[in-house]
Amino acid sequence: MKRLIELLGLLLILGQFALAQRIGHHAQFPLRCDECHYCKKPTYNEPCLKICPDFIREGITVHHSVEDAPTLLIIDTLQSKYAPSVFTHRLHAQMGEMLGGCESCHHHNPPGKVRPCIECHKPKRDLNDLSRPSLKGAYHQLCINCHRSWDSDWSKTSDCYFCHPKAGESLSQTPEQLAELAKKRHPAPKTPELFVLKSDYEEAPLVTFRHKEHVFTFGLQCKSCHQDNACADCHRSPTKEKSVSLEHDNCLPCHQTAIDENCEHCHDNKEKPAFDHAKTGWPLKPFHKKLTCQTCHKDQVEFQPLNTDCNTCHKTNWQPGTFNHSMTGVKLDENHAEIDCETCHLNRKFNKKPDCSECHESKSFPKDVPGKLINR
Amino acid sequence: MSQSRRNFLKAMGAASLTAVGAKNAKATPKNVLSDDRFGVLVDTTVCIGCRQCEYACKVEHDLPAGNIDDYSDRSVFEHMRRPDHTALTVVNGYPSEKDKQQQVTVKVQCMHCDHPACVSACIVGAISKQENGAVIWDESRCIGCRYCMVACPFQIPAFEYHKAIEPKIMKCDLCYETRTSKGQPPACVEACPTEALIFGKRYELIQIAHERIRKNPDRYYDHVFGEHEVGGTSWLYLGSQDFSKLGFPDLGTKPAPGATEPIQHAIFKFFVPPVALYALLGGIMWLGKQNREEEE
Amino acid sequence: MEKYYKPQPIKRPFLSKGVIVLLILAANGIVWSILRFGFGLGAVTNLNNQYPWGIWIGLDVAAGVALAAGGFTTSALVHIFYREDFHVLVRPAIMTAMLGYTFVAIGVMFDLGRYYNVWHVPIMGNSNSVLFEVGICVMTYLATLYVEFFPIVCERFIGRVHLKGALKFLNKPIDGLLRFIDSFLGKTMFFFIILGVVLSCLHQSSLGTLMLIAGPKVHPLWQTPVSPLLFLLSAFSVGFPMVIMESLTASRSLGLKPEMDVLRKFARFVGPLLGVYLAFKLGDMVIRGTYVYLNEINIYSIMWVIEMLFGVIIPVRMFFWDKVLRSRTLLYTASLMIILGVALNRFNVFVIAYKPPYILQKYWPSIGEISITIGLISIEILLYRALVMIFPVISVPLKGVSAKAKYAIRGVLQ
Repeated sequence: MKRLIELLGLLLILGQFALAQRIGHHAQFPLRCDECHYCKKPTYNEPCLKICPDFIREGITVHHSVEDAPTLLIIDTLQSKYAPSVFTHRLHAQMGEMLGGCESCHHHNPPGKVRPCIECHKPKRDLNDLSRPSLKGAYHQLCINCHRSWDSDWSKTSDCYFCHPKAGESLSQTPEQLAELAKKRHPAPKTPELFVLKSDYEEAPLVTFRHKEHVFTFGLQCKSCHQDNACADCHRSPTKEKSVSLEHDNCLPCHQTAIDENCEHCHDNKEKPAFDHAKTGWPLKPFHKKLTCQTCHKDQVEFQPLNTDCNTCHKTNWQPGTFNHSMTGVKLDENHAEIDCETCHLNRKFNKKPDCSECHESKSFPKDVPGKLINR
Repeated sequence: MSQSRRNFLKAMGAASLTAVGAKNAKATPKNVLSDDRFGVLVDTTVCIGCRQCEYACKVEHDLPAGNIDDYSDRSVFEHMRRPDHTALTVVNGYPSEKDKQQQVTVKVQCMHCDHPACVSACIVGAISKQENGAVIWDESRCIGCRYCMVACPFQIPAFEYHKAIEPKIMKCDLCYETRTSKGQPPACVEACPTEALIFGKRYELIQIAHERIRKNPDRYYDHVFGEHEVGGTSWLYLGSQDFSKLGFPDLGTKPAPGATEPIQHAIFKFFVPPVALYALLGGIMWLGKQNREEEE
Repeated sequence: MEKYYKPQPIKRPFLSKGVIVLLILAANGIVWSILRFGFGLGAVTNLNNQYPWGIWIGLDVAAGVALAAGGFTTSALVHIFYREDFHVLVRPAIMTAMLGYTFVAIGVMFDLGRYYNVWHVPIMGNSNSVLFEVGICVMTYLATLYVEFFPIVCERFIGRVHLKGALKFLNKPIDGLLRFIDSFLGKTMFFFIILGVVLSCLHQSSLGTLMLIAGPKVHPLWQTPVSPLLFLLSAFSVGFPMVIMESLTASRSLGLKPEMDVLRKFARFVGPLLGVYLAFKLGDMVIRGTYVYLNEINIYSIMWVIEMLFGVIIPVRMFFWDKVLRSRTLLYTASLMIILGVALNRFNVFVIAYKPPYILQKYWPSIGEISITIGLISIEILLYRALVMIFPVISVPLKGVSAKAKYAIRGVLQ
């Protein structure tokens, strides 16, 4: 009995510790209290929590494609001076893809799927949380970032009527017009082939940036680089000369531009040729050329040579019946088709030259072929 | 001799009595700075120059407002405008350093200083700082001397020069009578579609302003105009560039009345220097009189 | 030979060529005044929201107050410091100050947008306001000046009240009242004299504090925390030259012989007083390092140099020069230079140095403003002429008549 009481006592003390630690932990968040609470002294009964605290960085976790986005939104919650506005949501989502992605508008989204604006931004301003705009303010603050560039060729005006049809009770668009709007798509952006930039690094001033290669070969998304761009950056009036300037920072996420010895990686005296994987000692043909870099170089920022042993990536236990050897460009003849892989590929090292010595005394690959070479 | 001496002392007593009486008669204007006083934060990086605030202000103050559609005319930004008797607030445009194609638009109105020069200057105490932060003008007291206009470091009060009778000092009153005394936001703040204007407790607005700068150091110039200028103002501004390039005067952090109040109080408050001077002169005069009488 | 002076009304025809010119100017001013009060400040002045104060404040009020300093400086010298040898100068000085302050008050009324509310000042005054201090001191001092002038009125009318017709029965009471007031003031005048000096010191200096609140709006050549002291010192030094100038002008205009002996002695005070002002003005400049602004040629530096060179430095040298003190013309010139210099100083501080941060429209005095200013000055001069013809203000030499030994504003010259 005494032991039981001692045990219970010990548990109680430990529990207190655990509790104390939890509270301590919460208060020691690397956050200021007012990022979550709108009052100065929150209590358990009145925690005065903000609806969507600003510190949420995780954002949208359940992604969907642009095509699944709502096509049109009719904004009439705040309708007073003007008729309801029609917001071509999918068109804008598509534009967003070229810039910051869905997050460029759906910022501070709680983890999960995309939430509509009104969930955090209420129609009436919350005087307890002055830092959060009301719905009207939130709409305008988002829209004006692009729409205020009034002299660009796609948005000639920034006056109210560009978005708000003049006063009227009901929607000013006919169903046909709405259907037309719903179909609207932003034309696919041009993907420039390359830029040869001149830097002030005198020893090797030229930097060749192969834009298309970064998109199609390296598989970067628009938002990986263009998240800070605005519509107007491309939609300048055509008379204005377009110039591209890149800072080291733009390349930093992938290239270690900060390291001094790496200069010649990008800087040269002439235009650099496109990247050729063969020069790394691993020609991508014929097996891997359709893959993006990240498929193999997983989670790598500065790409490192990978182990060339096929088993490193391919966990499949290839057997004569399950592997189509023709893929390699060599169609095995009948004699060889039945043989175990290990007979020729010693220790299943498929990246090494096959060994014929097990059966043939004076034959070797590639002089002798165990079947016939085919064009894949 | 004794006769004139007694007269003299009597007169001296009368002089000090008048001095004391005059002191009591003067009312010091109240300058109660409540911790919860209101303010407005203007984020000029959010302002789009739609001038809805100008329209709302005119409607609120019964000034001729014209057609609201005329307010989208951006050609007004070609010239600097100042608040006057027709408009208590105006929006001006300034070239943006960050985006050559755009303008930074800045709303101008009374800053509602915490230590207003106009209040200190006003000869009859017609301008007063209210507990909620507003600096308002009292028509029933004003004598139209326009010293407030001379004193204001932001050059805000305007005068109705065209009126022969009852000309008014016109300036933003933070909608004191109709709105802010009841805790409601001023008309301009309510009209602002982008919420570039935020109405709230001044200390909270300062927190929000610094928070915005911290989160977006690229977007903002690291300064909250009005936090410390001339001892603090109720209207606070955030900007994308140096405030001197947004049409703000370069003022120190000392309250605008400056040295005038200390000098004034040194002379006036306890009446010591005037009375001392009076006594000194009286003494000289009395001695001189005695000398002359001895000579005779 | 003992020479007695007795103040007497001057017997001259009122009209002269100069008077006619002044009458025309005054009439012009009155026409503009009707426009100002009928149609508002905007109709007559060029004042605007950037320049709320113009020449009416800079000249009519600020310079007017400074130039009326002759009254308190002379009465302090004669009555407080017992320099009875200058007694003949007191009455004209007091009367000029009285007229000057009256016209300062009238000038203020022109400038006030709601002049009919001016009675708010004493009852609603804001003790933090410099303008209130100036206003209340000027009001009180104006009253004091009227009191100081009143014995002259008594002297003129005691025993000479001859109302006619229905008012005849009032002759005796009025005469009695005048006699009573005269004897009362005779006993208490010293109180008002000291009060006048104290009030003058207060508001002459406060006039210099007035523009301090405008801070950076006033050019640093003039914007200094010691401005009140500079204003007081310049008021001290302009008082005597003003009396000298008036005396010489009046004697010429009224065909009297100027009292050069008195004036020469009187003028000896000017040099040291103006020297002190100059020393403080330059000392302030050196301490604040504002001489750098003289390197640039602009309206500010030019006006400052004119003000200092012709208004202070040259006259200081002249007043320490015996030849100047002996010559009527040179003395007149030197006095006039100080007067114009101090007036220019006030004008500079209130108008020229005032540079608002946002200028949409420059200020330049309108014809109406100038007309009214000139009109007011003309009326003031005409009133001076009228008053010296009505009241015993200017002393004329009399032989064999001894002055009454009475404590009043009249005196004897040995």
